[in-house]
Amino acid sequence: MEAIHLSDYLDPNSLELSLEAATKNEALTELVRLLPIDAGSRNIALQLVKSREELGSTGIGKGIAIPHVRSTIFPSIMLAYGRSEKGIDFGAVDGQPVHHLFLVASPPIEPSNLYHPILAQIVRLVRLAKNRKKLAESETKAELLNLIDELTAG
Amino acid sequence: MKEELEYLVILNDIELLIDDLGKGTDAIERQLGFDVSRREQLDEARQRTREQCNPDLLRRYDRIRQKYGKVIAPVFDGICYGCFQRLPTQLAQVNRNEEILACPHCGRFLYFMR
Ligand SMILES: [Zn+2]
Repeated sequence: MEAIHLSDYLDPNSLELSLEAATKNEALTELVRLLPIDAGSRNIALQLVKSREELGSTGIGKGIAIPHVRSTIFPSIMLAYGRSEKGIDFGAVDGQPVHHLFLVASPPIEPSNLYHPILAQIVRLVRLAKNRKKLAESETKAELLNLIDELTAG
Repeated sequence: MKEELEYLVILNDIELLIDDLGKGTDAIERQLGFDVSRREQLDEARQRTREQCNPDLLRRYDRIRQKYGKVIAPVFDGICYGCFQRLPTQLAQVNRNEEILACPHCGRFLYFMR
């Protein structure tokens, strides 16, 4: 399969290098705010992303969380990324605080069927300790975008 | 946006998620490292959302849901993406998402995209 460029679904407005959130709910609110949708749609997105978390935490360990949501309100797949230096208690599988958060938002059905491949791509990206280190060390949004592009170039 | 519409959208998306899990999405999620162990919590979220819905709208919702999985149809450029037919001009021009509107062709509730 062709490499997915996560950067195609991100822009500088959907990145936050220093999340203010102290709690999981605050983090989800901040992440949803990074998506290019209107305020009414944000309410819906937030409720749904929280519902998904009730099913089980999307904190997959090693300081990573990948909250994800599908809804009619998304015209296409959208991503957001937030970084927290102090870490957020996310109820992650390993109990560790979360530092890197990727939000994946998608319509319920998309013709390209990229929802799960994109989730898988992010999981692959963050599985490597050296990649997590690079994500943590990026100083600007431009640098971070380039890095994500580079790391998912295949 | 009209709150009643928000609840209908949330309800449909939660129900679609539950459908998906039943069709094997939970296996994919687990394989990727996500926890999907608390199915009953999702059922509770569904129930909570149903209780927030207007009862008349909920009855209509359930009727449409029996017919189609997707009860909410996004609208782009005056086209209902539930049935892919063009909406009558006066419908396409109303105050978007401030009213509960149904597609005259397929009956799904409409959600206007910007
Ligand atoms: Zn229709």
